[in-house]
Amino acid sequence: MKTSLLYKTFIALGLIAGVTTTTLMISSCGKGVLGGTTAQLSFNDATITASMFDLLKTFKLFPEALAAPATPVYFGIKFLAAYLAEDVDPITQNNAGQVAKIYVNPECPDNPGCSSSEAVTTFFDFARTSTEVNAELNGQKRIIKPGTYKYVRLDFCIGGGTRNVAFRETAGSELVYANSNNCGRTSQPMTPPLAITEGDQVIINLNYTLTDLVVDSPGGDVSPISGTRSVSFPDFIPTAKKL
Amino acid sequence: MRKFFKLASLTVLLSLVTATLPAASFGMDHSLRLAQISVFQKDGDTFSGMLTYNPGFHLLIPMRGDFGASLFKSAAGTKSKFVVLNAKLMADLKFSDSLSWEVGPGVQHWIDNGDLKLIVGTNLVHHTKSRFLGIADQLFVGYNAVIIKNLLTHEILVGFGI
Repeated sequence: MKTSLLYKTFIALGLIAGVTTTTLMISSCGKGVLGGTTAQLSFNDATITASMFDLLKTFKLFPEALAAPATPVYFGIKFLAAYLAEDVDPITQNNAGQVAKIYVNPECPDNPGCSSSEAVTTFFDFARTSTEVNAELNGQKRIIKPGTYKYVRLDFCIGGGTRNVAFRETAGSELVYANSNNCGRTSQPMTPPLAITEGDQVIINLNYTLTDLVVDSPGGDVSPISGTRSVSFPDFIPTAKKL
Repeated sequence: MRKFFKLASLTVLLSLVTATLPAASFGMDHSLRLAQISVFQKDGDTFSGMLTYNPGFHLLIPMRGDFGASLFKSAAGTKSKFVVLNAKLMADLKFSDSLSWEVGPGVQHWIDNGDLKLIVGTNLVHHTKSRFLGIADQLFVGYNAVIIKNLLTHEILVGFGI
């Protein structure tokens, strides 16, 4: 009798474990759910490919001694993360107040994110169309705390970077790798600051242009490993839309 | 640290409820329930299982606890799944020997996905005379409304208990 009871208990526990495991394993079904206030990053590449310098070159008005700025056809950055910052200390450039992460590179742990630059192996090409750039962001929504945010900050490296930027000036030219110790970029301020309340679903759009960012080294924001050309980081101008 | 305190508060709540039971000692019974849970919200859904411990006791009126966990799919971040802890305290109203209705408030902790939320839930439970499939003596359907501002979430459960 005791053996029979024990046997039935094992069968019951086995069934429960089996059904539970199977059910949880198929829990990836569905689109997923959100637990509250969210923010989603998107980019708008407003690059104008035909620049003023191109016109000057076309009409042979540009001094030959000075290489003209150019618009990169490829501008890759090790893009680790993006976040909203309530404010930025003007002296230390540290975050002031609340911070909310709005993008984490899929190569990084979701929380707390990457702890070293080397964790990200692929470059995020900002020279693509907005559609292509946003497709790579993959519509990543993130749960954030309600608050008032003034800046969007982008992380490109941690504690200095080696070969963390790559750019190509023209379609046929060599891909130039560069080092940038400037590990982040702070957007222009949002005026007025973005007030996010409980339950809001917000899309943060960063507008930028790569027009004429490739210049002669030692100009630009990075140290090229080869060649004589360098590149500057674009300015990011944020806008926000509540869904 | 806040997550720790929230988890701790849930544990304390569970402990307090459990601790009051022997003192009350009003025909306490224990059951385990396993359910398929379907979760729906605006532009999102997820389907999973939920395992709960459901002690029944008498505290002025017949009551039943509902303490369990599940794994939901997230539409946020790069992580695809997150753990949900569930704690409810429901009035257990018996219509007959074979049918009862449970209703009451509670909380759900969506770990790393919005954290603590208030819920209101209800179950319609059929108590079988003989054990269904040799193990189950309850079959139930349930509904939870998860209160998230602008994202009211509906959970539908179908399962059995032992």
